[in-house]
Amino acid sequence: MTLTTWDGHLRLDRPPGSRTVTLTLLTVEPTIEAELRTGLVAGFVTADPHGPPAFVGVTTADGRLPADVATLFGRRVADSVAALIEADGAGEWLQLDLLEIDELAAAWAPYRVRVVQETPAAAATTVGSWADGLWACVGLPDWRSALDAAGGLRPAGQFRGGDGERPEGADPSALRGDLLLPGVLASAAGCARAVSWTVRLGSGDTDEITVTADRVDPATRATLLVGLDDTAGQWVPFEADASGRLRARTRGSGGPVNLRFRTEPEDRS
Amino acid sequence: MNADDRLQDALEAAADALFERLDPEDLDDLVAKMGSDATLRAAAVARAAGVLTALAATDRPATADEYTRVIAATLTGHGKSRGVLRRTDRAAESFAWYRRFPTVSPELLTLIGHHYPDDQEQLIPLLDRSLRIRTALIATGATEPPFLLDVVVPAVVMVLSTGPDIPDEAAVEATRAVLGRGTELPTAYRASGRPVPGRDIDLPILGNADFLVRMAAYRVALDDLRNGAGPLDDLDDLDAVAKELVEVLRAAMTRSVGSWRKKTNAEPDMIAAFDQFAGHLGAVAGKRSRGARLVRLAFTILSRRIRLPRSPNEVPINVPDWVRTPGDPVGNVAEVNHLVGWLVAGLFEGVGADDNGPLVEWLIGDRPANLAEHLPLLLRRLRVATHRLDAVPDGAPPRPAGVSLRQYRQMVTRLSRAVDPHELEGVRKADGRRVVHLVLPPLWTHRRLAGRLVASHLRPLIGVGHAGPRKALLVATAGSRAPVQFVVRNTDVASGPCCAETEPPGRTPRTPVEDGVVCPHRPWGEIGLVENYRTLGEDAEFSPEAARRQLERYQGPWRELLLGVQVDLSPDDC
Repeated sequence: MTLTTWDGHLRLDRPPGSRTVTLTLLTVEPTIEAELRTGLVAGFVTADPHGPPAFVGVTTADGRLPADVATLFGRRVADSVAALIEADGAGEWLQLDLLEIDELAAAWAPYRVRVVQETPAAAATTVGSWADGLWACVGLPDWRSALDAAGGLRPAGQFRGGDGERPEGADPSALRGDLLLPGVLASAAGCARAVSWTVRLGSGDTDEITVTADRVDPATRATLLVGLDDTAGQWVPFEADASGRLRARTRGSGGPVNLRFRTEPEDRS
Repeated sequence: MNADDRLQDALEAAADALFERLDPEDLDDLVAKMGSDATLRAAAVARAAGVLTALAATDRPATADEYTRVIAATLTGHGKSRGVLRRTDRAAESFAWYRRFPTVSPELLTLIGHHYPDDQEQLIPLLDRSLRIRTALIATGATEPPFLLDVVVPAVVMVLSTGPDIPDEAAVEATRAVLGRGTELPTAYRASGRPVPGRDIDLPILGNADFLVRMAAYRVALDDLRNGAGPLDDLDDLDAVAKELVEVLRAAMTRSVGSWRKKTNAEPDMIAAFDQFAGHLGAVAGKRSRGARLVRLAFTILSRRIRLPRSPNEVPINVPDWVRTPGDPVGNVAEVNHLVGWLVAGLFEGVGADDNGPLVEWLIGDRPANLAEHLPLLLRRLRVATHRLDAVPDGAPPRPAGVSLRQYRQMVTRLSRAVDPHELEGVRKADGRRVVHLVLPPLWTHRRLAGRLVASHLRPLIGVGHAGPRKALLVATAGSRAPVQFVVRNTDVASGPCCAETEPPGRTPRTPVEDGVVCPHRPWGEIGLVENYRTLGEDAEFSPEAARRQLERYQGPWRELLLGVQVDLSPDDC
């Protein structure tokens, strides 16, 4: 007799006096947890490279789960959380079956990689399921300190590959770099794996992040979207520019942030 | 038939019903004491008849429904008088005591009398009330995982037994309160941001600190129930209890294997940990009440953990390889029954009579409640049974212990019906595999998930040492093959979904077959994908050669999962 996350004993809790909802999949195995972003903590079984989150703590806004977290939980769990909040309940047990656990595991895979085994290689190859599409999570360097480090003194300051580099003789307030999307995600979106990004400093917290990708399969019937991994959870679809490249523009405020990419299959109806 | 004869028949039937549900070892003890099956039955029936006569004169004679319980009351499990009680008045006393606890089954009463004679006076009432309360809780919507109910409910009942008598309704409410408090506290504890005890040290086996805090929370809730303490200092209490529990576990875990409890390799330290949790909760009832021991026993019995072979397998195996049987349909029907009978025997082999519920449910249940809950166990049984069927004895298959004749007939009929007798070829080994393939009810729908579940249960048993988790996944992947899915012991790149090996020259090349389809190219009926070291190793990221080494050398827990994978591994080695 053992008890692990795969047994599917899920507990939902709302700690009194807080806007947090916690999910615990009972397990006797050691876990490791990390704050994925403000208001979202997740823990995973250290020894399980395929497992679901053993713990998720998420802060609600206006009495609702953030939309992205609700998507990652899946319909049944998200509905239960909503009903629990609606009824102002303290907590409840849910029994998940193997398929539901696997869906959780599949959805949270990019976060699991970040919490349990973060390596650039793992992050660049791990995709999760997102509703009917796929998603991945790739880190951007802290561009403000990167720019500070360059100090504007060396106008053509070089940074190593993924850490970003300033365009030759270009605007000292801009930084650019390349990142790799997981192959599965790229092919689902019909674009090349290598994606380039440019950050242009704005005033205050409105740095502009532009991401461009080369389309390799124009026939792909899925949209690629990008967004910062933050509570706002805004998604910007890529659109073809004059040259036919895919381009998306979003805003951020420095600090090490993660970009999330996801695909949205075209509605078949 | 006169009334006496009818009574005699009814009592004999009741005795048979009880005996077939007893643990075979317990029954053997009784039989040994009484001389033979027949003398045991005759003595029990005679004593029971005496009890009935004595009760007939009272205002509460025994009803026919109670006959099995009357038979149970005639048995005694301890002391010199082990066997059937000699005195009718003793048996009547015993029955009067037993009938006060209608929720405890006669076979359970016998088991307790046999194994825990010194505890029975307290254990039986504890179980009786725990069962009633658990049923009431579930009926009123409790959704706690069963094992939590199994450990918390007896502890609450035990604690309540130290205070004034209260009606069941109040006891149910008290249990609900403990369950509620026990789930609120860990949440509050986490929200308070306190460092979790045990997080900083590596518990040898039971490594999840949150889980430990959860167990500690029930203890605090029970302390509150007993002492009526307010919830003010609960988080401090929880802190203290959790630290205490860490010490308890550390002490239990660092004892050498087998020194404190007879363990098989199927029940290692994880069981010890759960026993410690149960004991720790029971201890709230105080030393003098022996709460720790009783709650631990009650938890063991309620959680019906399945015991795997405690004694070596005794099914005689006589190998009539490739025996031809007559090809007429009548003979084939008998052959189907024969093979199904031995398949069932293999599945139940060595499983204790009080523990076989999930197997019975799987084989005859119309809608099994939660098969995934028992999936690891059922898979292990499956591997043993299908392996046994490679060499089916000629003799009649034994009916498994603890399975009633009615259930057994139902099982064999149901399974046999899935085979068209004309499908048998008269070749034992091939027919055995065909029967396995055809008759077993579905057990899992996604093999990958079954493998992950089994791996997660294996991990704590194997330990997190060098490559432990990956080894667990590899063994689980190998063990979660379909009932008749083969492993070819090579490291070739699979040439297709089915046919991994090249054909001898001059034969038609194999074409791949779909999962679940019998491969047309092998005489013995190969099912679906054929595995090899390469395919088995992929998920756990072992190279084919490393997978071969790991699989060949594996001596760890649940080795039966590798039957058919490890060369010459026999179920008796597991």
